[in-house]
Amino acid sequence: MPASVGRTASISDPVHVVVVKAPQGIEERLREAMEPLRKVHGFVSAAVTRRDGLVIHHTFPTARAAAGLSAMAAAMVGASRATGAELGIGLPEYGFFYFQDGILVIKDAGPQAILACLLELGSNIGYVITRISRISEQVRETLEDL
Amino acid sequence: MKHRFAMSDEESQAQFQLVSKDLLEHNVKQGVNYWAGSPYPTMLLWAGRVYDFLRVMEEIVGFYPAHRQSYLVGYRSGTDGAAVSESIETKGSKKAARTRLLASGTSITAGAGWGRCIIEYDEDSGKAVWEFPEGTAIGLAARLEGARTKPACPFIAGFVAGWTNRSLGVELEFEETKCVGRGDDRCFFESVAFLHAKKEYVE
Repeated sequence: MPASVGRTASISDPVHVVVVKAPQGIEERLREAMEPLRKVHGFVSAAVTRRDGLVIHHTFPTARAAAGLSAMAAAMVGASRATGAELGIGLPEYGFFYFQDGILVIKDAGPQAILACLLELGSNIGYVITRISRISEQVRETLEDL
Repeated sequence: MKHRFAMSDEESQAQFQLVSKDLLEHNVKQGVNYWAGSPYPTMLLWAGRVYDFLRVMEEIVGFYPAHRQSYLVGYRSGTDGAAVSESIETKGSKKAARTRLLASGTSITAGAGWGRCIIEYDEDSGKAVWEFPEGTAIGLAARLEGARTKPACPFIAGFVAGWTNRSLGVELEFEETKCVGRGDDRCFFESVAFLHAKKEYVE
């Protein structure tokens, strides 16, 4: 058998393997739910991803760009949950990563999904977290209707 | 129209001879094997070590991301394997060739020692299932490590998805709904909607 090299959201993976098209009604509701995020000062992009990293909805210029973040966000949430269990401190409420050139906020959006939001430095994190908490709840409700 | 592909004991033995022996070439200088003219080095590896990739990764990032990455590796193996098999045999109409290529998945998995399977495909519903009545090699290896609560063969799930999609020109996702690694009597992979409520997700 040919050996294969696995990569996270590799450029050579077919798009349908890393991004799924939600049914039209669901897609519209996700777009509406995400709309307030676009108005947040410093907003760059966001993605709703299945818990395993498959992209469900995104605001990135390309699906492949969203796929990379989604795979990483899923791994970060998974590692955080494992850390919480290991330390006996429960489940993570949200993830907040302050990078040299940007900020990443991640939050569970129900049992099936994760919401990841990329922001510019200097964004009002307190405000963003409030927004994301509300939007993640809307995403959860939307995906429950699948 | 419904298709069902299965193998007899004799066919399984013959495929082992073909896939794991006749099509395997040994480069004595490198000490490396190559399969069916493919440029990718091919090696014998214990199934338990493939399971370990999942087990170790899921301890760090949790089951779902680990499952997905393992699935993607399997997917590439399935699409690549089907592509190589497609290049070996191209007789008949396009539709017949696609169906035959899907059917050859039974030969490959048995011949390579991954497990003997039955493939069913319903053209009308577009639904496909791959059943390993005795379990996959990875599932059997996982069972030896102790009972799990989640399926152990996302690599195979990805493989059957890649093989099926490449063969039929479709975009199906597969889920392992039964796994000998978690105490089921067989390993069962079925095509599912990409977005649907999954029992395992409820925590």
